[in-house]
Amino acid sequence: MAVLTKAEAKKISELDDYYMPMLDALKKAGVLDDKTHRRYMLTGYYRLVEFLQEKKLITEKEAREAMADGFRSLLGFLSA
Amino acid sequence: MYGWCGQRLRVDLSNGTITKEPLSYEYRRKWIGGRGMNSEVIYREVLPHLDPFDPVARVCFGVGPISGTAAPASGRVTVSCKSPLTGGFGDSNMGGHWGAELKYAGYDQIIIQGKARKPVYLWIDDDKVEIRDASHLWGKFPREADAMIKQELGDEDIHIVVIGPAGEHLVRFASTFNDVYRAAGRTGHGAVLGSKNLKAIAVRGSGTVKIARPKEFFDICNRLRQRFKTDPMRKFLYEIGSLSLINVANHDGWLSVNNFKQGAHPEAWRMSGEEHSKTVLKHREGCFACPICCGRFTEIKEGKYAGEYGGGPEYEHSVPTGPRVGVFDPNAIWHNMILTNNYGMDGIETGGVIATAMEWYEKGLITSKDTGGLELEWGNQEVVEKLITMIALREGFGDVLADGASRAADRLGLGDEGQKYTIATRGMTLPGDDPRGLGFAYGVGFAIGTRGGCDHLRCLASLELSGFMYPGLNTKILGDERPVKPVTTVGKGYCCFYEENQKAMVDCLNVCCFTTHWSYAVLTADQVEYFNAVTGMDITEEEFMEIGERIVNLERAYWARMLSGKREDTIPERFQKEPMPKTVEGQTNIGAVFPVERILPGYYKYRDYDPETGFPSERRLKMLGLEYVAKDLEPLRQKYNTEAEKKKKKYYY
Repeated sequence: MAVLTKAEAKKISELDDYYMPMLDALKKAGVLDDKTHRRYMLTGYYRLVEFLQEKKLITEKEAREAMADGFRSLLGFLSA
Repeated sequence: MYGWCGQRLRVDLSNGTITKEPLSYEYRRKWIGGRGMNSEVIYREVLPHLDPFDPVARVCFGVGPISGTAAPASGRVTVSCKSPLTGGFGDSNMGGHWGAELKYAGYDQIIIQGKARKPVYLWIDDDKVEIRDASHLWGKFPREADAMIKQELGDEDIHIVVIGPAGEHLVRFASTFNDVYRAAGRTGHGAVLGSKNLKAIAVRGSGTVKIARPKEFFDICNRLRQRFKTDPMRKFLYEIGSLSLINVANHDGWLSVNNFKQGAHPEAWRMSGEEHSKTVLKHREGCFACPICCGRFTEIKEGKYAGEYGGGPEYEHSVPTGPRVGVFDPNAIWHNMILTNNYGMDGIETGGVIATAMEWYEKGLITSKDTGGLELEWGNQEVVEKLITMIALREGFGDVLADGASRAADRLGLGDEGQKYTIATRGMTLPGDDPRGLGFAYGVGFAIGTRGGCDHLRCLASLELSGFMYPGLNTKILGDERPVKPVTTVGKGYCCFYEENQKAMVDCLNVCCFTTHWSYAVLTADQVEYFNAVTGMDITEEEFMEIGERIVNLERAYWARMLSGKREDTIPERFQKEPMPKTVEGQTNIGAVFPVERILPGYYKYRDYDPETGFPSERRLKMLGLEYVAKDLEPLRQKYNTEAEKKKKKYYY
């Protein structure tokens, strides 16, 4: 499900410090609120992936791939 | 009550009063134990500008709710104080069995304050607590004092924390030991105990730790212990100890050689864990409930030091009094380690201050006139050995070095040029790990560590050190596998934020970080599980990590109250400007420099530190339940950025 634009995803994927910008972009897109933004900053990437799957923003298969291949793969799913 | 004992002991050595203070549910939940409770007490009770040797100053010993249980490696204890070395917040922790024994005696924490009129030691026998004469123990090495106290009390099985002669002589980096050989090395609390005339704390406990959900807890412990059987890092640590890092460091160019002028040396393999195990390893010994057993004991078999015996070596102890001062003869390095332990000093600072003096000597900033005739040339073992004793007893030039490298530079009038070679931040010299090779996240840890700038154990960003042994772990936590590469800036800001919070919690639980950060057999989710099973609480992973964040912010605020912030978040110029030279074939980091300034702004964003001052933001402090801290910092935010303040160069406090 496209919650980010391809341009946003591309920009984030090119950053050295990608995690906060990714959380910020998901918040801007209304996927995360203040509380969940903070939660996944504290608990790490895998908890974010679990949340996105739970919210059906990515499929189970995509979640598996995002866990194996990392945030750039996740950004691909979120901007597709 | 489950997990905790629910009380702490406060001992005032000035008037001899001993009180037991209850610890409320809210307090325990907010600060957990160990480092958390200690940091809370130091922040609240030790004002930032107090002389660390003032009798009013405190030393805290803290254990956690898991201490003394079957949870893997749950026997550590945190010792905290206002550091006489840095002048800022200080703590350190040690393994052994004393921490578990303190729990069995019924205490989560001890606060020592005041000053005894003559040398004393504390004897805690469950409920019975007494202050006893220690005049006959003064001047004794830890192993001698330990044996004498056991004989006096008629019990070989008690556990004892003790300081050595260096603590008695107020060497600013004196350590605290328990079970003779397990040291809480850094930040100088041994000297603070010495200033209070407290030689030792002997403990005997006959109680237990109550577990809220025993079946669940033991199932978790069994699961984790099974995991250790096949854990890749556990194998290294057991078989070769932390010296397993020597050959790795030498290959990747992060071994501290000649005060970090080099990152490798052709002779370094001689002191590797592999060689040590083949030649002088006497036996191995684990700390309380440890599934790793990295502890080793050494007996030197030949040469000048034949027959000497002692605990160790550890990588961080052996490198500073070995390669960092240019010494590569392994027996000399083991001897230096035994000697430093006998006197009760931090091996890192001891080697660091000698290496610094050697570089001053090399650069002509000092001469043999300053050193009392000692020729401080790299690799001069005779001088190194002599200086260790002179520092411990504050004799001659050793008295100058006993104040630590940064203060010594000032005592010698060497100015900024002298400070340049101290290879220290916030007044404490770096351990034996060069961030130009070990990794950039470790390097950020050196810049922002809350027990002094220098720190290999605070941020503990081991995802870049041992992460390669756990394929997929960097991706799981950080979302990318690239941060596993040491010398890249990718993902390092978040890596530091996550690992620093996580390590704070490990230090609150007082489990060994070798099970959670070097080895990653026990992950955050596992820690939350066993914490909940022991205490009966049901905190979430988010709450767990938030407590870690609270502790980091409180400690950071301690420094902020001393007007130490963004400008002091740096690392020595050498790492930023001098490209790593090639010294061995195959070295992987030739030409590397560490661009700390590229990573810090990102790290600040996770922390929500004020980009102008580096102080924790009011918003984040309030979110963490630290409103009183926000209030303390309010008037200082502007003051930090006044022109007068900007001009000050702060090498220590």
